Amino acid sequence: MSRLIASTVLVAIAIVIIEVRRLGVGKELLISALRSFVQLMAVGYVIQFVFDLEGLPYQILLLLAMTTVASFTARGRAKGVKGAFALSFISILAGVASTVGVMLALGIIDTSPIYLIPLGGIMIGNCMNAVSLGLDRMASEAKDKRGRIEAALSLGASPQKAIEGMVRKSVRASLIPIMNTMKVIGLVHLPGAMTGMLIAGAEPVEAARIQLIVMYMITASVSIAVLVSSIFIHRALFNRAWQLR
Amino acid sequence: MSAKAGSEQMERNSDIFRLDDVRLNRGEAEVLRGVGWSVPEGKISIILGPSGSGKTSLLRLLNRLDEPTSGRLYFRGAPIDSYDVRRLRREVGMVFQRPELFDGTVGDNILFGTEIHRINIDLEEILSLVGLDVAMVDRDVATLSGGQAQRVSIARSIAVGPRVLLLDEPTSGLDPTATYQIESLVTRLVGALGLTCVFVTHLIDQAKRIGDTAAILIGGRKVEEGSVDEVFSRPKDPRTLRFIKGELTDE
Repeated sequence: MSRLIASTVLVAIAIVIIEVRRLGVGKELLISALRSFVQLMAVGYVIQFVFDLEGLPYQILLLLAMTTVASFTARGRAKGVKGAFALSFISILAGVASTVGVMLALGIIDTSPIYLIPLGGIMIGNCMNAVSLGLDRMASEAKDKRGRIEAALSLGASPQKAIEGMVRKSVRASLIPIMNTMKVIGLVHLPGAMTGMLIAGAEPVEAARIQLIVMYMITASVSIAVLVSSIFIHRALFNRAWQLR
Repeated sequence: MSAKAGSEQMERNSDIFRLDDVRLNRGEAEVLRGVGWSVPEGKISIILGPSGSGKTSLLRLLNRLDEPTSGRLYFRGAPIDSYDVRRLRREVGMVFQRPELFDGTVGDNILFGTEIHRINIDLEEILSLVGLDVAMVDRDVATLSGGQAQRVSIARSIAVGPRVLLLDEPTSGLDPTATYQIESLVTRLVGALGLTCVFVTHLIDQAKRIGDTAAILIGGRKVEEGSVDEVFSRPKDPRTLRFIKGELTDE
């Protein structure tokens, strides 16, 4: 606990400096810092509670709750996409559930909470970022290229066909962060899981091995989530008469 | 050129579109306030009116890019929403104010619709029909002039073999020469392919040059309808006269 208090002092110093220099983000930084404190501590207790429960249904429930929160956040970014919450929810769920399912089936992880909750959380977070980036990109493409989309529709193109090129661009945009992360992993930054394991005293090579598994799980879940949202995005943008909403 | 074709009954039989009390609201705004109109087959029908009068909104309904708030629209005697959307849009092509070409070559654009409908066309024939050189087929559309681009967009629409071509102020961004070329292209297409054209414009002279019949739209209402000769020589509605005199430039 004393280490935690010491680290808050540093944040407090940063906030004071920002306030003194009138950079205007001091209040937001303070709120963010307080939020992260409350959220992380609370989730620590929740996870402890779930660990103690030891039941798969409870873990699934917790993961679903996390997916719901993530979907709300993704929806906030995708203004102008009708049904963005449902779309995000289905996409994130598909990405996480299929990846976890395969890892369980292959026996790489088991159903104990120490795997499912942290791994699930890290995947949900990454899927959320990718899906909301993709939806945001798609919404702005659809707005900018409304004329071209309607030209395609007017020729008898299906909604999928009319936005084909834009979907390709938005899929690319949503996968850029994870691709960049993989490119520089270990060179520019040590990812959170590995850092945590090293601090907790794990062997570096073992930590690297675990980190790779985590990285690939994230990549797989993100790719699937993005794929699912790209398959269903036309439903959010068009109605049944093939008209832009 | 005027449409003084036979009895009224015959005209009714040859109507390709019929609109009955069509209304369109966009939020609070009433864009179309009960429009009834018949579009004769094989002619050039003009929708004329000041800007903001609902011309484009009316035209878009005919390709079913939008749904009317209320009222009925018939295409070839059947409600427009009884057609499969893809089939309707193949039969009713649309040319927009801006060419809205897809990235790629002239050929890519012309083949876009034909691939969707799985039909084979002769690219050379289509190009020469719209007055473009065959060598242009591989040109990147980004390098085209405004007039050329609009011709490619017309070619793209007629390539799928529509019965009707809707044109939404297709000459608005063009210089007088290109405007004249597009106008004569439209007239030529109606003759060569037996197309029906619905042509939206705010230019009275343009309406007189190419139109067979005209409907005048002011403030979302159709105030005048008839052959172009009748509409301009003997307007029935006082608002038409004010529009012709240039007193109604905006709504």
